[in-house]
Amino acid sequence: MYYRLKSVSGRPLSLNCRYRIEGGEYEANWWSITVYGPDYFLIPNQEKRYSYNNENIARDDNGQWVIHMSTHKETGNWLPVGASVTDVDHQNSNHDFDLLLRLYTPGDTYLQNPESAPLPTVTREECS
Amino acid sequence: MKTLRWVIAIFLFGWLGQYLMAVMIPYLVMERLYIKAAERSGYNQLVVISRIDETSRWVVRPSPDLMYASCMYNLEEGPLAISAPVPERYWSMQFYQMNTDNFASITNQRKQQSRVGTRVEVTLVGPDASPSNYAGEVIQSPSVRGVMLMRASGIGDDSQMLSALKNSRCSPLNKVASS
Repeated sequence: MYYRLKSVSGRPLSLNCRYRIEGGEYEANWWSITVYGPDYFLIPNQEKRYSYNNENIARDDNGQWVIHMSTHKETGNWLPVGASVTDVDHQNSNHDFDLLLRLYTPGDTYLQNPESAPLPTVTREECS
Repeated sequence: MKTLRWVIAIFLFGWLGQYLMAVMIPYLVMERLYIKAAERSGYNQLVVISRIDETSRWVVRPSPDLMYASCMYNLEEGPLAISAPVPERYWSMQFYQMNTDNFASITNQRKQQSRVGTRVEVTLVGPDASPSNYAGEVIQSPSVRGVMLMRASGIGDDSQMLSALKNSRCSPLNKVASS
């Protein structure tokens, strides 16, 4: 199952802003959250970090996790964003990047009612 | 009355067009992917796809956390023998027919965790074959052509997972039987 997010409170995800993504566990064999450029490909960055998943994300004692998403390096779980390799016509795509949550082999509850999955909360913290 | 006929005709053609598009698009997408991949690597053989990064362009939205091995199959000339060691971390073998439907799945998760450390040996047969004619684990494809896709976790030290993919096989059953 796939869930895509390209805006927060109606405002497209922007390279000028810093975002906080919060979530927990999913009823699935495996999950990942990946950031893509508007060209649908991975965004180049020095760390070669494009995603987090249930095997490599740092959690608190309650199993909850937070990812910071921004152009500048941050401590903890950090998803770097930046310019894409391919030039994109922004008339067709008004966001600078988007997020994709993948749930592999999800439980029956999600399959029967995809809205029941507790999706991560994305908050826009500050913009320049 | 004439106006009503036009309204009904427009409604019917609109509905029919939308229905045909919904039915055809998965076939067209799969056909394109199938031809592109088969041109690059051929049919009925396993291809291990190297590490995914920002330079990967073989498919849009590639997953950077997984390693893949694929076999574009064509069962016109008979069944395939698929063989793969099952590693400890996340691993799955999925079968897709030409309308992109995922018609069969083998994994090492949940109820199938007992597969870890074993070797999956599958005979993939075509829609007209009789599965009872074959021994062991048999999967029947609803279409003559399709894709078998293996996914394995590529996080951290991926050497064991990569080795599992590289030691997997997808080849015509008659070749395996005669070798």
